[in-house]
Amino acid sequence: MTLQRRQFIKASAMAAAGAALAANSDTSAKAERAVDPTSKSPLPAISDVKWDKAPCRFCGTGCHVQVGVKDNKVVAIAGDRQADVNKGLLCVKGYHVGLALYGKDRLTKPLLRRNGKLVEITWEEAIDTVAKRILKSPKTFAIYGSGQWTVPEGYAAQKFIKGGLANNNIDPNARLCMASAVTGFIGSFGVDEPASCYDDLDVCDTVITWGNNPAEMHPILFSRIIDRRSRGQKVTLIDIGTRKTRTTQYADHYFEMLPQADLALTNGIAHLLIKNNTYDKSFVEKYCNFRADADESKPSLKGASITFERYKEKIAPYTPEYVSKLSGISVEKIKFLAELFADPKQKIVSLWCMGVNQHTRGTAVNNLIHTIHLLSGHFGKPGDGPQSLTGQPAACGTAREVGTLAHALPGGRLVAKPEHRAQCEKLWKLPAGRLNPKPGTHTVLMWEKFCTPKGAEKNVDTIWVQVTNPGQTLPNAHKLFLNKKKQNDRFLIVSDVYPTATTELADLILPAAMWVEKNGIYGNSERRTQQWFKMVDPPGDARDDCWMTIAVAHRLHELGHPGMKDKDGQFIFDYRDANNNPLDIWKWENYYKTNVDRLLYEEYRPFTHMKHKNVAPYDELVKARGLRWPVVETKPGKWTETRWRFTEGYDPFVQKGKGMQFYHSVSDDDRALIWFRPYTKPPEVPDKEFPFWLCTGRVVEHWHTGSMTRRIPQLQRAMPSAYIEIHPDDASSLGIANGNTVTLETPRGKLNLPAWVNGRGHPPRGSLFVPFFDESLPINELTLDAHCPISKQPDYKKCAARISLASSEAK
Amino acid sequence: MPISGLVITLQQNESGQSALARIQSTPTFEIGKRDGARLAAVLETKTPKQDKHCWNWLNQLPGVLFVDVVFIHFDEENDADTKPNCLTHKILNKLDSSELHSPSIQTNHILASKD
Repeated sequence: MTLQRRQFIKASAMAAAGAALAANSDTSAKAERAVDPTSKSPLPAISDVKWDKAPCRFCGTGCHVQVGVKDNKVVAIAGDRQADVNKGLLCVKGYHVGLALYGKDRLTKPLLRRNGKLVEITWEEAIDTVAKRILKSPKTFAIYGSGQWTVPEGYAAQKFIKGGLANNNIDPNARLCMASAVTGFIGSFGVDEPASCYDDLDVCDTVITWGNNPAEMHPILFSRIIDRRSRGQKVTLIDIGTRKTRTTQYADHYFEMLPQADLALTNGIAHLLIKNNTYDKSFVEKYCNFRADADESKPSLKGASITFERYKEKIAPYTPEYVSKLSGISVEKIKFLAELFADPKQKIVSLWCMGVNQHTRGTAVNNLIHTIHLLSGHFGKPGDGPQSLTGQPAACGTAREVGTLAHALPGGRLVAKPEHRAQCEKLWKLPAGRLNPKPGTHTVLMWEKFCTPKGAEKNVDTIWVQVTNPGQTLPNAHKLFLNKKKQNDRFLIVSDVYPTATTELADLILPAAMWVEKNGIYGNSERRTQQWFKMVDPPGDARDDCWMTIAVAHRLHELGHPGMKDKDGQFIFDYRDANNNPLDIWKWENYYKTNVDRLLYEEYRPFTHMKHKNVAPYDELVKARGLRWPVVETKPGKWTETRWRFTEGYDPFVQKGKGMQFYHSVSDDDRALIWFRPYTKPPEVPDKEFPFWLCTGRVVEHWHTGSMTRRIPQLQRAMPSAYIEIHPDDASSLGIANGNTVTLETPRGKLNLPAWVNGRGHPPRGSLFVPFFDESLPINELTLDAHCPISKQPDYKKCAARISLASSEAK
Repeated sequence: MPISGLVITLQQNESGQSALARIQSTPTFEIGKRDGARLAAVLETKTPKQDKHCWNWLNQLPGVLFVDVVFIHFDEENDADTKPNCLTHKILNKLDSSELHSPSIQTNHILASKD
């Protein structure tokens, strides 16, 4: 690099930093500022670098980056100052996101396993292989996708399998990450996704993190809180969890609870609000009903109506003393929390993610966090409400809104409801009765059936995995993934960008384009739909996942599968230009001659109106840094997003004079539900044989299974391998020193790992923590596949384990 | 030769002042505007490895509350530094699959990255 160019880039870097400083100089004022999608933001002016916007590829925060491209390669990343989510800032992963494209082992050719070895084949052979495998037995085929699917990718997969094959065996990895949040929202409000938004973080008085570590998992959101403090604003941070994390380091209060005790603590807060008569009577009387399960041994999504008096009776046992016994949190601290919620002047935000969702009573805890906000009236006002977070960039946009779940259809429709199926058949122009009324297999069941020997349970024998890595993320992986090795009649198709634990067992590997190598649309945790354009070519023969789906559908159409035709006899992905000429988008050479994302998204958009989740037109997304639905046309050509749902003055669907209106209420009367959900014991608890609690999770340097971030040298060097955190006293009593190799065992398997005494987090005595990003130390071979009976989401946060010095160390 | 634009949030006390002085005296950093607790800076290093080292140093410096990155330029990354470090890569290249579950422990790295 010449000195002149270097100085120029340095000047650009300084200009970007100075501009970000100025842009963030008044956070509270900015919180009130609407997005101005038309304003121009100065970018580092490097003459030969072309810039364009994109959401970050990694977590569910939804930061926008500016991507600098030179000679068909991403060469620079800048925080996008026009983006309200991150205001020009990026975390360490976002900062390196461009390098995720350039690992040296990108998959570039379709690979078919023949006689145990992977051999290169052509795309024509690959598409034909997939199509013929499906044609042989369409009912036993399944698609396993993710919250990293773009909206059009998920929509195409959904239409193909449910609309084309009349088969509901499609589920996303989001089942493992936020399914309990979905059922929590539906159970409490009758409709999924948060009512609140990130703007709350700029104006709240108190943030409560429930088993949540945003300092590492959502650092840009956490930075908003720290930023306010650095400006002298008071923001109280209360961290409630089972281990100290980086978030705890910034907390004013840390309340350490026993695993599963969130069920008790939330009920304990509700108990005191009722007992002390400090709940918000006006809010509750106007806007809430009460619910509980008719049979508490059989938890259900919607339960049965109960009276306030009955609710009081049910909550009565949850005294501070009883809750203290269950949770390990002192009576004083429980009272402190109840008094906090009792204070109407406080503005309280609750944040949660995997700690609450990955839980065998995940739906219940979600309902109970909503319950204490509703009971106390801390809901629906700026800075005051519950905000669940997601871990993937389109867990909301694709998995939840497109409805790529085994029981769902786009637009919040359900396969089991005849009127919903009819609506979808109409929009998809399918013959009446095409859609299958029986829900498909959810994630755990899908993989269990796939890995079960031929026999009674066999009804999934081919799975196509797109945009995820179940070989590393499925719980109890010996049972749910590695057993595939023993099933010779199973066929695993994997579309991915890098070799992974999943491609290890794949029979067919399809090389995929990623992030800015393709067009895309994501939807983040605050209902924000975000669009970007393809900026660089994928390497080798890698291609878009969405194209792969459409190409396979078309090959099936050619082979005569009747489901690939609509009611008029046309191919289900038949699209036409303005002159009614077919676009033939199943041919790769034609795929980017038109904007397939726009075609699919605009076809999908009417579905979003069915449950008042109106997403913005594609062309509005092009102009904006994402828009939060519902987005409505308030004047001709002017599209307005919604920050707070269900609140008059913010939500366009709330009727005038209602104040607050839960217009998809479970009880059909515009009211939200205050739930009683009892404390129950975890499915597996430490005993003499396995005396420790084991918790798993993430670290700031790596995202998800590390398949991208472990190929970014800076991130890999910073955190090269997994480890096990252990309390110093436990380490001492077992003769374990920092760095020793230890053997970790659960009833499902064992693993050797290096010990990190205390570690980055600080586990309490009797508790261990292992991150799951490291494919060489696959902790999910040890985790539990027990799951929430409502959401079907497994519990990765607590199981019984034992630990000892590895035999190599003992010698 | 990575070049990064940073916004560094400092504690507003003596510790923050001390951190500012340390950053100012470090040649890889160039200091820009300051707005209250926040400071604009550019980090320029010769290799990605040095970049990471500086990043760790900055994050662990007493008085530094938070480091946000707003710009990164990396078009001349050293290829030697970007070799994949994933076992599946080796396996696809026909190495012994028994390596799959053997722990690749790099304890020194882990301890070095401890904060």
